[in-house]
Amino acid sequence: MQERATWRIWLALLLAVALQTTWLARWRLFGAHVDLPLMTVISVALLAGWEIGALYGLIAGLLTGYIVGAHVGAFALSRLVVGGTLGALEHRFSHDNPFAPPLCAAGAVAASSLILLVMSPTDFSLAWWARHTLVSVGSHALLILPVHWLMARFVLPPARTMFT
Amino acid sequence: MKRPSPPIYIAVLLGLCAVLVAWHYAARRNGGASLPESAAFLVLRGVQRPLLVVGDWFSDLGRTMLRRGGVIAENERLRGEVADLRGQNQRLLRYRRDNDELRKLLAMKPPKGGKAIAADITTLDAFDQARQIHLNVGSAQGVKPKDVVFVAEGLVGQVISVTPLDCTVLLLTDRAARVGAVTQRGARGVVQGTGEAVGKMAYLNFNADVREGDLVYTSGESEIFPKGLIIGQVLKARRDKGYSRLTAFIEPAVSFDRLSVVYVRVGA
Repeated sequence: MQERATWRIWLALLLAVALQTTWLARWRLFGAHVDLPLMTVISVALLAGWEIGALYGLIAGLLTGYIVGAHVGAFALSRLVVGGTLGALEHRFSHDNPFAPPLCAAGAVAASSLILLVMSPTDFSLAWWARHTLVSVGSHALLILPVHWLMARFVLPPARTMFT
Repeated sequence: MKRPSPPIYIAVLLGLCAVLVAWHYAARRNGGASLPESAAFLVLRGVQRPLLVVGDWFSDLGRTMLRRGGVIAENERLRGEVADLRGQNQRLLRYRRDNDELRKLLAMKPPKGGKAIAADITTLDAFDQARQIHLNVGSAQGVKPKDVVFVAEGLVGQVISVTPLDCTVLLLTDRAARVGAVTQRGARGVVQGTGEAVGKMAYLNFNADVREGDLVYTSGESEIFPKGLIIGQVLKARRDKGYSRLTAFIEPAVSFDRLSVVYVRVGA
């Protein structure tokens, strides 16, 4: 595992979940909630690699599932897959590439949404799922930039690249 | 540090995931919460209240700053004072809303049976996949699964799981929510959540007299929800002649986005 990832990522997760369940819960972007814990999973995976990304994704997914009160397995698995996969892709993206986080966020949101649909097909109508996924992909691809910027500063030591 | 072997590491994580998920659902079946879930909420609880207060303060300030655009005066001190007063005003408006809500609760006739206890919302309805909230009351205060949650405006939902210190409430707007209901003209049916702001009333008699604006109440037939709690009002009624089906779309009486304090009927 990479040494630069520290206890601070877990503090970031706690803050993200706490923010999501309080202040952010009052806001919707184009009718959909922003999923801050998922964005931190994407960011941690890109910054810290697949081992930490997968573990972080699993814990973030479980916490999200506990809060939602349903689809706990689907949330945990989808975040684990997103954290592991994006972490494995970490070396393929230059840390200076400003398009990497939005592209990864769009892919991650679509993938986790698909896993939720596949694991709980009767719980969502296809129309609602498609609309919600489309809106979420767009909003998370935009919002990942400030989140990733903050995470790079909060999680990692001072830096040499655009995002760190 | 030695890197873990990928297949073993992934297998361990998947195993851990399966164990925790199974533990969660086993606890849920008994109306409780698993130890990791309880611990997570206990840790979160310490952070949520301060964040909510600070977040609201920043929201008030942010709103003030956004609306201030056209009022850039030359005097820095006066500008700051105006912004500060507007911030205070926003907070006072919010307090007035809370106050109005509490006054209505005091004046409200509580539903029959049991005792109503007030509860703060600790975890708001934060995700789109399910509509649930968490309250700061639990089995220590006598809350049990299936207890009814309401405010002065009407029905909020039903308790689905309880720990000693908190409980989870399934909101009326959740897709899994079902409530036996009757309109003010006597049409009986079942109000179902849709996951969106508007619910629907199904299993209505095709010839029932249902009109736009009709108030919808709990029918009291389910033995869980007491009779006469307001659910909402009819937005639209749609007759599907092909299936001889009448469906009414219901706007909930409760503003779920503005909830801060609710009542739980315990001991019913």
